[in-house]
Amino acid sequence: MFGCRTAIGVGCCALAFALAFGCGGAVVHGDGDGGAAGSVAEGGSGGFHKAGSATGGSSTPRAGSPSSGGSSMDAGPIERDPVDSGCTMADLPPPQMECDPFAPGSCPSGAGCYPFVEHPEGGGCDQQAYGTVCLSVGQGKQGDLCGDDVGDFCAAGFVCVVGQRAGKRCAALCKLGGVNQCNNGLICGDLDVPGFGVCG
Amino acid sequence: MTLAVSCGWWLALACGARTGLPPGALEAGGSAGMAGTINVPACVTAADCPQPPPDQCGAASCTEGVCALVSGPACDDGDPCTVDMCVSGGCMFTNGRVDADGDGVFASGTSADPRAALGCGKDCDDSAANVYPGAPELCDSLDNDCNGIVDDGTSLLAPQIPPTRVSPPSAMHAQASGLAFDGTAFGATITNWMGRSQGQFQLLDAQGKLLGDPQRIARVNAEAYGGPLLWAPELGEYLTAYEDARQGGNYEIYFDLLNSKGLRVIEDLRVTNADDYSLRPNVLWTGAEALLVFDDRRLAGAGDKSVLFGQRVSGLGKLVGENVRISPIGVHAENAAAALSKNGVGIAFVLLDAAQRNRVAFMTTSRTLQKPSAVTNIDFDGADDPQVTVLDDTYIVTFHQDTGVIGPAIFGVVLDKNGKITRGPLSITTGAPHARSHATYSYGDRFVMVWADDRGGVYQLYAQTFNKNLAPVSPRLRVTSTGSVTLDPVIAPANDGGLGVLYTDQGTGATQAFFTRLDCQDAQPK
Repeated sequence: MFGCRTAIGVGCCALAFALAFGCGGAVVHGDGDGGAAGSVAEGGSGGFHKAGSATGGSSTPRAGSPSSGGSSMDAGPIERDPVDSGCTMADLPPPQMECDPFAPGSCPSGAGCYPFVEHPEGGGCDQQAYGTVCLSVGQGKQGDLCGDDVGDFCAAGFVCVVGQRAGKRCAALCKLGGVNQCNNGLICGDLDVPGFGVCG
Repeated sequence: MTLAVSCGWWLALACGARTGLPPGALEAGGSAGMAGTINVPACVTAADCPQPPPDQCGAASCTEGVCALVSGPACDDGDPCTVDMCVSGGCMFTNGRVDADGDGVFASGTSADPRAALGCGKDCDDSAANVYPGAPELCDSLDNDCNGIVDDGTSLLAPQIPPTRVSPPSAMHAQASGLAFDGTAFGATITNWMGRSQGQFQLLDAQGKLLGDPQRIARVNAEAYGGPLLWAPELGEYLTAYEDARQGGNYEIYFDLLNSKGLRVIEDLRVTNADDYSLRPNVLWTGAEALLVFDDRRLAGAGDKSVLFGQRVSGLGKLVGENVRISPIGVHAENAAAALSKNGVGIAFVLLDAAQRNRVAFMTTSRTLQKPSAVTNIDFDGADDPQVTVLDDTYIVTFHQDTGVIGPAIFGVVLDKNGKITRGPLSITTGAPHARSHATYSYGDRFVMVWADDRGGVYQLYAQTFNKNLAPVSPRLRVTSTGSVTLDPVIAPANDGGLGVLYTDQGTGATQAFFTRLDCQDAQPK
């Protein structure tokens, strides 16, 4: 599996964007707290994410066998009652679309359009804010390192993600569900900004 | 049957030595030929006195309220496979070999303990008539021919049934995340995008038919992913770990236990509470506790951009200790894959080297995630997406290449138990412009790998079995034939020798999760 996580900062503090894609990654766009007008932090950043693996189990039958006593670990597999807890489900909020990453010229000169996601800080049941934002463009192209670590951000049409190879890397934005627009063996996969994909 | 009365004589009381042993605390005479007298007080008749063990000739008596044992010879013919008894004052030796399952081969032990390693017979499982030396190896997850290897000589077959779509119709798109077999059914974890991402569990029968509806795992309103899945027979529950962004403005690792229907039986266990992203958990099960290995960026401000951490979790779903650092200081490590060996945990991961190229590296820890070893760097430009597989005392690390261009093969490296490279890196697949996204499963002496390559112009899944030298030992099978991009296999064996494959397919216009299986064919007669 691969999936990318975006981390774009918009406004204050660190704004983290996560993209989910077969390779595993998250978008990481710089924040805009530099204060200087027109230098709205980094270009988008994010990443791919590969699901971890699981090993060590076996294929012995389920179904509870009689308890042999002792601790619960020793008691054999007795099925426990389900825990029916969680948040009241809420519909996904509408995106905050400032621009269209696939439409050239939707941002002022010197800026590019990047998807962002801002994950909730609260008590565990809140939702993310997400959408697109115009940010100053960087130079990074597919596979280039990006983010604060390297002082460079992604060019328009790319977004900085976590999960593609090592480190934060620029990945080309693409449209999910259509003909694969990615080259060199890359494919368009999921990003954690609803509605967007990245090549990975 | 052997009957031998070795002696019919008794040693009479020799010296009348007496002890103060209470009744029942008999101290019998020693080896054959030795004799002695042990007197125990407080008896009325001989029946009150302790009798000699079955393989010890002799008799107890009661004289003036005192027990006495007149011991004869000990019955021991030196053959561990006979039952030695004293009968009517003489030794009798009967054949103790047993063939309880009637397969014509004696068990290794005797009727007293058929599983005892006495060498009385060569049947490694006297409870199964289809297990004995020379038996044909069947697809049953048993070592039929008693050579120490399960299902060797069997072979996997290309899928015989149409694939099953696992992601629900409401999913805009989906990813395969985890797959496990509980002895009866497959459990699958998938990430479904229904606006936002949601980790879900879906139960399927052994042939891939959907059983019931998908179950949400983390019931949150933030981005939440499906994670790896494991069946823990000791618990009768599934284990899973995943990341979601419900709190703190970034992704954290959570752990859950699910019952056989995929319903959570604990509250989501938060494993990390760290600045920045914690991602990509692996889950291992030792039989007593879960081991999680994941990448984490909490130390980015201190200069370590990404670090591997681990966490132990009890079978009750409680943290055991704290997050422990695994990768060393100064090593940018992420995207780990972990596997249990007899003595520890093997971990392959991606590192960013000084020239900012991605490499794959390997290290080990103990089975409590302690004592991290030195890191073995695998010198291969662009190595990415590693898997680690344990074969006996050998680790196999497999990976694909991504330098911005996906490489043409899946590559492999063999490392010994100390992490020393003994073979490779070398390509273990051929014939495609690009190969990627693979999964492996170990049979102990060999491993099966399912991967995607575009030899036919579009990514399709293939399967092949390799030995510990990375040589193929089976033909390459085509797993998917959809004509659309299929990727990201996750595999798990069933107990009929078949292999379940969960994967993603873009054939519907959006990526969706599907299941198929490779059936197992019994070994052909030699």
